[in-house]
Amino acid sequence: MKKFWLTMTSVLLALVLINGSVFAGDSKDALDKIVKSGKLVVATELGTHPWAYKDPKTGKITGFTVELAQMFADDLGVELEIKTYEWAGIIPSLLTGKVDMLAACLTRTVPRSAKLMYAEPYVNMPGQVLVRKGEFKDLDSINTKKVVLTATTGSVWEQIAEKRLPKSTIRTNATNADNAIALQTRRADGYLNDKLQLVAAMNKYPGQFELIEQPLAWDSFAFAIRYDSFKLWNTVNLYMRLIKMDGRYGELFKKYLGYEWVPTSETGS
Amino acid sequence: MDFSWHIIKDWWPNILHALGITIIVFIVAGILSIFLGLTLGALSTSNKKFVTAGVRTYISIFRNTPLLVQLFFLFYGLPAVGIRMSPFTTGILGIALNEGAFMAEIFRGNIQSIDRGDWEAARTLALTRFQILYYVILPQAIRDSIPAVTGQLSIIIKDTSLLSLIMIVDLTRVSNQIYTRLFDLTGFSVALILYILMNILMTSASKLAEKRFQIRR
Amino acid sequence: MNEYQVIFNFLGAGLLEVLGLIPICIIFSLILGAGIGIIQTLRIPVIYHGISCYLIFMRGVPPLLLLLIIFFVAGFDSARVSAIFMLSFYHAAYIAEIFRGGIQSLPRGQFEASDSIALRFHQKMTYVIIPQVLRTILPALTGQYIILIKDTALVSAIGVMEILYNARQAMQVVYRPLLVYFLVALLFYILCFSLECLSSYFEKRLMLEKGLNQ
Repeated sequence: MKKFWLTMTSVLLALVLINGSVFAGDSKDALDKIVKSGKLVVATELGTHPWAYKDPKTGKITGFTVELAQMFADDLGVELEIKTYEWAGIIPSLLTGKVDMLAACLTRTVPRSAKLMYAEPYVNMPGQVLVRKGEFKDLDSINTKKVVLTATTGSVWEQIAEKRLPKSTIRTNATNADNAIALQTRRADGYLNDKLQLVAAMNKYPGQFELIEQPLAWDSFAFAIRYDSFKLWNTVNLYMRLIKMDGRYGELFKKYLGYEWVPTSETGS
Repeated sequence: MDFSWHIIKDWWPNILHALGITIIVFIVAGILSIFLGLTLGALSTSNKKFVTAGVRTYISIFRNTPLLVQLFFLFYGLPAVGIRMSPFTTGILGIALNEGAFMAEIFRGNIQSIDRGDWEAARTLALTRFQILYYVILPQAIRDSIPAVTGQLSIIIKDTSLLSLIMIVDLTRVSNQIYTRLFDLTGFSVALILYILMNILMTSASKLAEKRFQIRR
Repeated sequence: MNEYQVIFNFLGAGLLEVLGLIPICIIFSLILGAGIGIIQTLRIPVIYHGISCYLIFMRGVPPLLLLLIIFFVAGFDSARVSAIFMLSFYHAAYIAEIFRGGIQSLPRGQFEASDSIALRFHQKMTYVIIPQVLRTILPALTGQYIILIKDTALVSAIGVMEILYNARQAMQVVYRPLLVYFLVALLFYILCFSLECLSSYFEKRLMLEKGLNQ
């Protein structure tokens, strides 16, 4: 009898300690909550240039994705609150209800869609491999046993690399900064990410790295919403289409990505 | 807390491999740290001031700085001066150097608690310092240290989880991988159970050792 | 901005964050640990074993794994709150054992004497037992809190912008790993050493009081 109660208590303790997620997260649609409280809470990861980063001169959080989110909040008439996490914590922050929406360089994948809703994509970008200057020419030369590739923990590149470059060894690091350092110190021979973030890393280590021209995969980024917030999802979709029609999207695109946006089926409707 | 057998079945080879790495690191780093601790402990009996000061400084530095920082220093700092070892070697070295300091402190305390009379008696037999240490002092000190040393070894098992942050796929990293890909906590559940099992095994081994060597606590 | 200024800024911001985290964690774990330790000495049938499970759990699980689980599962507002939660609960288990050991090592006479003058339980604890226990366990508490200071380096793994995290970010701008990690180690060394000095100071003061009273 004593043993029974013992086990029950410890199991209860363990469950209570671990299942905090049951009590987190709203059951109402997030949009209603946003309008009522006057605040839109989004999650992003800093250090991902040009999508979301801290401006070294002003100290403000800015970037293509961040400004898109800010415009959305302005259109909605609410304030924007940005919560920053490490990449591996981004999706959990949405799923456990800490934020209403993800405003990060989040790639659309089918497995992820099983857990969250993607809005209309806001940009398409090739994913490439960054290597030290002069070492590798193309993707085939990387697909060998001795090569160590690195990507950010929780990003899609780990799985894409396993499929496309199966012979190499794939490791992950927590942030882009760690990945760049790993490449620099020869801990890794290749760093996988979308083109623009790799370009940003190249600029931080002038003259040391170069991109393998062949793209590894095509990335499309989108905002993400929980499945309990259909209203929010619908509104974000509408917003994405409207800003492309009235020219604001084109302006932002040119400002952060540096070239003109041309509406084609490749870059999103 | 999730626990789906289906995921465990799929990931079992990875989990086993990661567990293997954890155990190997534990064994190698454990042995190295004990030897390092013994050496430093023996050195601390020296008459020369600068030797004892050196030992004390080493112990102080490695005990008052986090293991993680030491690992990063070895892993990312050394390549900058041309010394580059595999992550595996770096991890073992880092843990051995760190825990060696803790072991040294344990052995130092137990060596100093050995009766002065033993030293004097051994000296009257015209034994050299090294012989005294090796045949008289250390055997006693080691016996007395067994409880503390096994306690420290349990800590080494937990230290291995830090290796997940220097690109080694250990048990913690594997469970993290499962979560970031499948959003399922099963990996963590398995890791928790395995770590607790290892700790219980360690504690039982410790009790057995104490019994066998008849340590009076 | 020259190199050293950048490093100084980054590490300084991290230091401030850590100086905020540590006192909160110390206070939480102290209260929680002391409470649990006292409850354990009472040996209440079911609760004793339940809490023992918690204590065994915390001793066997690596803090990093616990940190990750708490971060991903619990619905906390930020990484910082997850970090505080994990550090407090993890170290509270060790502190509980320290308190329990300290209480049980007191001579039975103290308990019997306070019972004989009809002190209630909480009065007995506050005025007689705990003051004496604190004197004895101060070194062990210090040791535990030094470990806590070192464990704050772990929370960089979930994105809390403390010293180690900022150091890694700084290295993208200024590539001097040996210097930066040396400075990080130095900062932690200073923090731990200060705690030790603080503790020695209190030990001496308490010893002096005890000596005077006798």
